[in-house]
Amino acid sequence: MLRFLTRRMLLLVPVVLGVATLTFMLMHMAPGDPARTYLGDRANPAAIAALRHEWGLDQPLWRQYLNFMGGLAVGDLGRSMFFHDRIITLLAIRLPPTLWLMAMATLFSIVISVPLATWMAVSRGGAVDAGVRSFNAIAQGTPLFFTGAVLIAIFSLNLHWFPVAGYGNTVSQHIASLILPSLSVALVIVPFLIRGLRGALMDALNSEYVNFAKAKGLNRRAIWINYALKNASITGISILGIQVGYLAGGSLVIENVFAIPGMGTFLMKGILNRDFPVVQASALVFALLVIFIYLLTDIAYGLFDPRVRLK
Amino acid sequence: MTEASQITERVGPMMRTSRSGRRRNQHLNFGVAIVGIVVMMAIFAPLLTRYSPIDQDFSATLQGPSWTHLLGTDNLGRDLWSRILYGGRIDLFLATVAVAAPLVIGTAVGALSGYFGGWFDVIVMRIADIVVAFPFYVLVISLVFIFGNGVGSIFAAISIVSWVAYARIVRAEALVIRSTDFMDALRVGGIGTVRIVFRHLVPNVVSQAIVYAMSDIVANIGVIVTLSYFGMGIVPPTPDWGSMMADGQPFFVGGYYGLMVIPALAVIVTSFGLSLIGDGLANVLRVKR
Amino acid sequence: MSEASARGVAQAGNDALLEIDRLCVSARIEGRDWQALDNVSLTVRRGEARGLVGESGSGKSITLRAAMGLLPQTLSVSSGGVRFKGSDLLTDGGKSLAAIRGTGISMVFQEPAVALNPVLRVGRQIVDSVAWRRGWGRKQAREFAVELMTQVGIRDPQRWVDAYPHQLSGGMRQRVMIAAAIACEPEMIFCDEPTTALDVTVQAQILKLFKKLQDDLHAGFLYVTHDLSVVAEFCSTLSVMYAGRIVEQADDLKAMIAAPVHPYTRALLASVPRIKGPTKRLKGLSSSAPPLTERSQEPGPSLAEVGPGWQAAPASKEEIELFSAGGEA
Repeated sequence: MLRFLTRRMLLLVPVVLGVATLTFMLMHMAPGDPARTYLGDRANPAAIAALRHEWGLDQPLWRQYLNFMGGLAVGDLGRSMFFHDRIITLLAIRLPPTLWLMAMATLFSIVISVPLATWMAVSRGGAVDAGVRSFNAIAQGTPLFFTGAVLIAIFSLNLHWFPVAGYGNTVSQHIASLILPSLSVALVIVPFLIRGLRGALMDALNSEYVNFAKAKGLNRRAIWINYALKNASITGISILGIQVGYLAGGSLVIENVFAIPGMGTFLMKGILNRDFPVVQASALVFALLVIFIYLLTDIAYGLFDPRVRLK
Repeated sequence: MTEASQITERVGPMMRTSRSGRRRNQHLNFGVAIVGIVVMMAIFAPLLTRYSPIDQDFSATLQGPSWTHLLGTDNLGRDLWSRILYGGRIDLFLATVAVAAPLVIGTAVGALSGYFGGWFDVIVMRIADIVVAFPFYVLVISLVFIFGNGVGSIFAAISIVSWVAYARIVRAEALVIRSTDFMDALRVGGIGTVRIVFRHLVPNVVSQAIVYAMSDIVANIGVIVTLSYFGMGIVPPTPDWGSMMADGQPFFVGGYYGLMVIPALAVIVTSFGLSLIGDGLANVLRVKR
Repeated sequence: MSEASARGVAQAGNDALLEIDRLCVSARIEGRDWQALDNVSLTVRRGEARGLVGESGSGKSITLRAAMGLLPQTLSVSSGGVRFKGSDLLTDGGKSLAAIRGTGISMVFQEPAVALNPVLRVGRQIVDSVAWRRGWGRKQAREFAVELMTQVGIRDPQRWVDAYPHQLSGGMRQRVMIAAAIACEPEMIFCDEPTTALDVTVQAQILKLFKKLQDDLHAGFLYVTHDLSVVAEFCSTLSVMYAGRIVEQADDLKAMIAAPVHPYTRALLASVPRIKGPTKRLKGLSSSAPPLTERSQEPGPSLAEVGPGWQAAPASKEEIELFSAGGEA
């Protein structure tokens, strides 16, 4: 297991370096000069030059690149133009809400998908199947911000069950604030998860190992849990792994709908303020988050599938 | 293999063809019908409404549906029906065009990568790994920010991100086909490499990419309306479904649900139709194999 | 119904463990039903090992699976019955089948590689059903698993009890499956070509194990195979299937092999490679029975008594033509 983990982590090194390089390149693809953009067209050239110097934009590109990568190595993501503070400290307080949001969304997606997929696999081809399929097709085409807006309208504005926006101050307020947003994000992943789990469950139920389990007289419950669901969970994990991009992208969108002070709102704020370093750093951290979750998925995969672990 | 499973295998495929064959065609037909209607509405927008989508009329704000205004008007007195039609124009056009470039580039790169392997393949796939590490929305939104608002920058942003998916799909297919007898025969027959790749390999591997393109259009519509919902990309006064939803959201509380729900339905119905086409095509291709 | 088959069942009397009585199974293809099994009747007594042979596609495995209630979705029992110790298994919607599986009838599958759960430790798979029935705890179950593994000839069971199936060799996996199948001490064991997927040397070992189990458990065996040498070694009685029907069966295997009546049986026996003399080819169909959709949908002729406990179907003209030439060539 340890060797397996080390190998996976080493494989990630070039990806992480590449991701950092790409974020650096992106910001330098911007047409025009960030300093001029920031100060406005009518700013005087001296002020622009001073700002360019302050941000290191007057240095040659390779130097800027080395500075950027060197900064990253010691955890320095640069300074925000707008907040006049180190981005790393600004991000540190915005990371937890996003992580909680993503975790709760994953939890919701599992809680919704597993029973539905099971029900579909049992009733195969019945009305349940058709119903869930149409739900899937509709859910996939529904913009996430619209789901969020509808949930706000129903559960916050009309029923007053949950706060309309924000994150609250206590843990219970945090959780209450995150229920609707994470439910919205979960609905993005649910269609994929249901489809995959249903197929995996059907495969397992038709498998020879389930036949043999029946033949040796095992009870239904144990067959479902230890044979069907346990095997299908491997598929489920790999789907969750593939969908992690949607999870992160979904957080970006939904945080802005619900005004949750997380990474997504931070990135959007950076865009509104034309705060290049903030956008750059947020995009980078989002990507690193995704890479990290890929790694977690790999570990979970190893835990659930002995064939991977012991290879 | 056991006898029972042999029989199921012998029986299985036939059953699937016959029973879901009809359903598959139904999917495809239904999808084509939905998308066809939506596209026609977008193309013939000027013939289907007498109102401009951007003209404001403060004497007729927030009206309900009537014969003069089929779907009513918004808070600025703009005709909702016209705005849906014209909004669909830009959203659908952009979503479709933004599929074309990644489809072509991704297919070419994927086919070459899968066919030749070697260092080219290694580099392409490492770049792909790096691009997909970024969440789609994060990268597209950041890119539109960098390039500035406008149709062109949405197109560029989406293209930079989405070619990767096509390259991966086509590469996987190309890897399989590369080692078939058919390809060996072409090589032995002295057919040039470029010709083999683009005349013989690509037509064989492109079908999966085309199926994927359908779901990709859905994803593009999603990201385009999300951008404009947040005031990026397509910006007022150009009407589009995303900004309509953003404009309509505050009036939800007042009970004017239509202002947000109608453009949302336009997005959902269009996406639903495209998904049906994608499913139908996937099934047709699966049988063909 | 046919006199002969009715008498055959009656003859089985009280010591019959398993009676399959005029079992018909149909397959649904393109909305039409096709006959996969046509009035299959056979009996297995306590301590008896009956061989069930035929080409692939002849319906041997379907017979076993139908009797166990494990038919795939496309197949279903259309008529006939299966009785275990006199009580009917197929009439109450699977209730008595579920009760009888494991303790009454158990089954060893052909491919241990796919019949074992890849994500469960083998020790646990061996004992999970018996532990559930007897309400055992983890420790007790594990001890019994080790005991069973010793019984089926796995050396150093302590080492393998916590392994996963993919870590075991094919022969070991088959032993694990046999251990799991006998965990609840079944009175009847179905074997669905249990040695076909294995190396020849391992085959011999597994066959030896079955012989030992037969002595230990005094269970009835219904042993499906297309390998007549296995039958000759392990079984005492024999049923021969062709295209979903039993064409010949006898309680005295040796007598039947010495003078087979049905042309198909003759062809099948002639096709067995011998050390002396030229090997005769099985004419008609070399490896598998005709596909369902090309079979006659008429019920076949009922079995006629050839001798005591020996029945054969009267061969049709086509069958005589199809098999005789090859058999005599």
